[in-house]
Amino acid sequence: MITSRSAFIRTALHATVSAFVATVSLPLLTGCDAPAPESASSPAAAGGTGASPAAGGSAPMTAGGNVSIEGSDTLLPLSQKWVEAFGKKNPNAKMTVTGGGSGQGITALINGTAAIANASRAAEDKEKDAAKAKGFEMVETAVARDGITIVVHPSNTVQSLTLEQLKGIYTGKINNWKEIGGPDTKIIASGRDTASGTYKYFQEDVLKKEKYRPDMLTTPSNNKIADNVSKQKGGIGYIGVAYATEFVQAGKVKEVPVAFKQGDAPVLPTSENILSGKYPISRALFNYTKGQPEGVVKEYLDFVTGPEGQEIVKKEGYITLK
Amino acid sequence: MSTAVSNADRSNASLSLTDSRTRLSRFREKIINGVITASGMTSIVFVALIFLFIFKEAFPLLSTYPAARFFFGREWAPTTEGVGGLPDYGLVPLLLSSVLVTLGAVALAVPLGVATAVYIAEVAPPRFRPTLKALIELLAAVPSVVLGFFGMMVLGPYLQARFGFATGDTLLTGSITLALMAVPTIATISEDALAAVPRDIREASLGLGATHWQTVRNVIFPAAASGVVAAVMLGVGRAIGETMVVLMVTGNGVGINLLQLMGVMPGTNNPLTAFQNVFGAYAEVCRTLTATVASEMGEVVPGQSHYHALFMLGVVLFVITFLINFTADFALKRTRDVRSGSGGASAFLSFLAVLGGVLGIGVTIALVGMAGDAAGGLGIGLLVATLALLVFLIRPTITYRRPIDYAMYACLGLGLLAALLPTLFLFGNILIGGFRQLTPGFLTQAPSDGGTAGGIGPAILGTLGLMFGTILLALPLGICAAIYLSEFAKKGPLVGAIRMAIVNLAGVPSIVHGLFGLIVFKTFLGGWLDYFARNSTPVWQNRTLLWGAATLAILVLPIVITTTEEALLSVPASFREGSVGLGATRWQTIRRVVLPAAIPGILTGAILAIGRSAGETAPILFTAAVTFTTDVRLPSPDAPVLALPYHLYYVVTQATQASDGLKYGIALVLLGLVFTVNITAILLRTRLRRARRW
Amino acid sequence: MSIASTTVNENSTVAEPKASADELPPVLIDTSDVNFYYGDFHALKSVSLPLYANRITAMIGPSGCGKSTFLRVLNRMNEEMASDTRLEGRVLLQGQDIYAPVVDKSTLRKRIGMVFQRPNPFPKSIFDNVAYGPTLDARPNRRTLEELVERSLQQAALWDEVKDKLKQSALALSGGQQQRLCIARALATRPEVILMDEPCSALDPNSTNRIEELMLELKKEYTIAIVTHNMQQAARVSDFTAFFLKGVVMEFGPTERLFTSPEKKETDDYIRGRFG
Repeated sequence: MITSRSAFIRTALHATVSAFVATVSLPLLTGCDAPAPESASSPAAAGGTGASPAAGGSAPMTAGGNVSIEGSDTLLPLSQKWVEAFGKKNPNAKMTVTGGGSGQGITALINGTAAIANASRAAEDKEKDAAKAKGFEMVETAVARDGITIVVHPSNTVQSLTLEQLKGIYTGKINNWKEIGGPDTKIIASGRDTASGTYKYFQEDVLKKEKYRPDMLTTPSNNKIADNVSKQKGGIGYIGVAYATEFVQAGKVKEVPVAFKQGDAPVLPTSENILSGKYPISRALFNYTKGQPEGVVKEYLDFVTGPEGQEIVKKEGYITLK
Repeated sequence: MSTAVSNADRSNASLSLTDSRTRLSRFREKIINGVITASGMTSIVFVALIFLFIFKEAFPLLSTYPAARFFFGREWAPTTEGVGGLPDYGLVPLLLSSVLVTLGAVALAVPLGVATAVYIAEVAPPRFRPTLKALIELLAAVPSVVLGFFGMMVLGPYLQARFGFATGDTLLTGSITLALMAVPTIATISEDALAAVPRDIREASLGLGATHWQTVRNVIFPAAASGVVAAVMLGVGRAIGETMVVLMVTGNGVGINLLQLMGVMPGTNNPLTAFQNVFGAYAEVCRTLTATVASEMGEVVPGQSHYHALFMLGVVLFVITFLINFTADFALKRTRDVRSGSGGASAFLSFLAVLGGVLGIGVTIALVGMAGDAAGGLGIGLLVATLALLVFLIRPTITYRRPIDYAMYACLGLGLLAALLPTLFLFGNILIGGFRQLTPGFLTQAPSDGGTAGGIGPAILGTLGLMFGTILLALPLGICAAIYLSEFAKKGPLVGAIRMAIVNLAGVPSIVHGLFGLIVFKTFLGGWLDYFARNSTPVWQNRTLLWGAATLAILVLPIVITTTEEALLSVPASFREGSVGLGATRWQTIRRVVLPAAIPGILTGAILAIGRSAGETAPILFTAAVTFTTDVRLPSPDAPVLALPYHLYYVVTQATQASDGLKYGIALVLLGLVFTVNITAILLRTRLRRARRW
Repeated sequence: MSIASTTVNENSTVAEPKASADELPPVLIDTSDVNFYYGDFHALKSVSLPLYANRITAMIGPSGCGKSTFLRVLNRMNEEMASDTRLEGRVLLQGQDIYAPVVDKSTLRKRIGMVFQRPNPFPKSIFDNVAYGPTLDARPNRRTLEELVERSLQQAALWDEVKDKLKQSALALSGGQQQRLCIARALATRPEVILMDEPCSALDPNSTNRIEELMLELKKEYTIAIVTHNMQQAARVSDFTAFFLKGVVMEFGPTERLFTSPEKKETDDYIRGRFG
């Protein structure tokens, strides 16, 4: 019995080693079945500055290959639903969705580890250059629009806000609601944390790249912003339109019409107003691909921008392209 | 009889005493010895590699960015251009946040942890000790993402409503949640230190007519003081390096009080003192080192200064935890040569006990308040009743001569209560909130509707895959390293360095492990694997189960090494002597006598490591976990995985429209999985200890 | 004192004549001028002792006198359990230097078996304990192994007690049985010499008696060295006795003579119980 126990250890050790070898080598073997790359790429310097190896050639995405989608957290729930629906129609398409942020998605695209980058902002020049250095152009496809709803406490009497006033509120120049026609209450501004694409977008589009007021309450989710605003009489927050409806309907917060400037008609972020460009705080959401989309990637993007994909956009509370 | 010795004669020994084994078996033994020795060094290699790679990615920052501005900068604003067209990467607010969160956690965790340790070691009836210890160990096993979830769902909203904070995501929320995490660490290590105090000291004190409490206060606690210090330091290390909790509950901004403290904001008409600022900061958001790295890593473009700045934060974290662990290790070594402590330690114990008592009452009141508006209210009354009984479960041999003694025991008991109750409340809360969710469909189906519906089948499978992969990699390496330490190594600077490395590896923040995995496994090794495999599209540079398992393996390696070494050391030396005396070689002795006898202990360590790997989020954030996949295969080493901790994080922070039931369901499954694994380890250990006959 | 009258051989059933200085048997192990150090500690000082073939040599002396160290010099166990040890002088097994570089310690220990102070059977079955040595480097077939185990257990006078429970754990045996198992275990590697390090110190008188009888039986085939703190035991079983004190062999000679007419005062004091 005892000898069998030590035999067990021997077998176990052996099994462990062989399992590990198999773990490492199996995909290597299957990898060999894949078509040999036209231009063999060479590994970059150790742990290089993100410039990772094996990214040469145009990515031939044959049907059945694993399509990896990575990037913006804003687009994450939406693209997950697209992938679900697309996957039902194309059961052979293996697709993976990851969040992390627009920057992470675009980097993954450049490095070749993602086939599609979700981005809630346009690619920066630096990123485009990095792609060129790798020998390809990033191609942009708009997939939906997103609007930002401004919400305040239900008891707040403020009727509307201009972009200028919003900027004043969020940079800290305006500190009491009475300065802009509201009650005599201290303003308590809530916003997303730096990880969020919305944080960056709001800063660029509304704050014109100025700094947020230092005492802004930062939160990791739209829920939390709605929570904060609903609990503070002087609260104000910005929430993606897809999320805002729920909180507004529940009576937790009140949405405020926004105007481009003093004198313009303030409007609410309805689909019409966003599509017609009347609502000031909206942005396009993009998918980036390595060169023109091909194969499954193209099929997927066609699906997303087509009627079925856009139906999902509408259902999820985002704004459709048309 | 006594002939002169010439060395030349020595080589003339007859063949009958030379090695009779085959060349092959001698060669095999040499190889095995080589492998074991090499494994012994791996901890040093990993610590060095972690530091090297993190530093390598951090260093370029200093070529384009003034070091002073990084280290003394009072603003962290990576997305806007500040002075000189450079963004502000100021360390101060982040460091200040990390320090304050940790201080808050320590202030809560030290009285509770120490009171718990003293209560278990000295006051509780001996037959309850194993149960209480096991309970504390179970608290240590709660995954940080589950604690963060609890902080977000229950604690934050409660504090916001109770104290009228502007937001629930505050420094205080972070401190309390981290305290839940640090208490078990402090309690278990302090308890070990107290139990190690020699019996005769106790008897000498009692023999001189001291009461039991006087003995504990004036003799036993001071003798164990440096062990308690080490416990506190390790608790601090745990708190400052923790990522998911602070990421989820502290808001990731810099509150106005902190800004005023740093002098960034001009003082208001009613200038606050620095003290008031520190105090006020606990009601506000903060942004710690770890949370900044975890949340911004996804938004940066590698090669940009922001990317290097984040790695620089990794370096800072690494250095801080290194220093803390170094101090703790030093303090622990001092425990071994028991010196009597100062009178300060005695007074401190009384102070901690009273504090523990106050906190115990506070915690109980708070929990009752929380139960009012949160799921979990049903069980709380029962729990309080059960645990209140514990307070009065005092060792029968203790006789009370002074009322003050009795008051102290009550305080310690309340401290124990405050240490156990919150996590039990958490468990009850998650159980009640999530058990309706546990349908076969939920456990097997894939998530749908962007994570707001469907099940978590792939995430369960993915986590199981990660657990299996981790142990497959960590166990052989850890066992070999432990064999090296207990059977091969001779005392000396090398062994000292290895032990130091293990202690530090155990203290490396999990987010730093994640960065290391990203750079070394995913980017570097993945690049080479794809190159050699001639993959037309990257396979190994993606997130894969293998990289997640490899990163987790390094994280759990210290657990495997220390538990295995302990198991090997518990095998009596006489077994080794007997075997060697029969002509067995060292390896034969290890393989045929020592290892079989140590298997129970090794198994316990393996199970603990598996449990840990199931609950970790930060290490797989960049290396393995994805949000969704249509790939319905079983987890495979070359494929990305869904994993329970990351899925919970994703659903809670991104798929916010998911029902609370769904969120609680995920938390419950994760907690259940980790608890099952850990309870198995505890039961196994108890059984095997009882069965052991030597 | 009673020691003088305890003439072991006359009471014993063993017929072999007691060795005397006149007719010395051949020397199996010879040590000459052995100095042994643990680090800076000089544990053995210029020790020269012979072990006569098929005789029992006893090492006696107070705690810390070096008797156990000397025993462990003979199978090089000191090097295994402590680091930083050093030996000067030589130890010859049938004329071969056991400290020569070509000597393999494992092979040496298969020829010089050892029995320890506390019974230390492995947590394995009785059978596996005895089979341990023979299966270390060889794979004898089942039959051969079974025969070897049986013979070893018979030699150790344990066979009759355990033959029906060979598969049971050795840890279930009594202390005396365990020690005889350890002797059987040592015998199974077919040694020439058996070193016994206070083999009876953890046993009751009854078990001690059985081990002593066993030793007298075993010396027909084996050469035995025994360390004991029990002077009566040395007197009962041994043919030669060496008295160690502070690392030095104060006196060595036939047991009878050493106990009846010691040459040194220290020896006399020790065997009369004036110190130790």
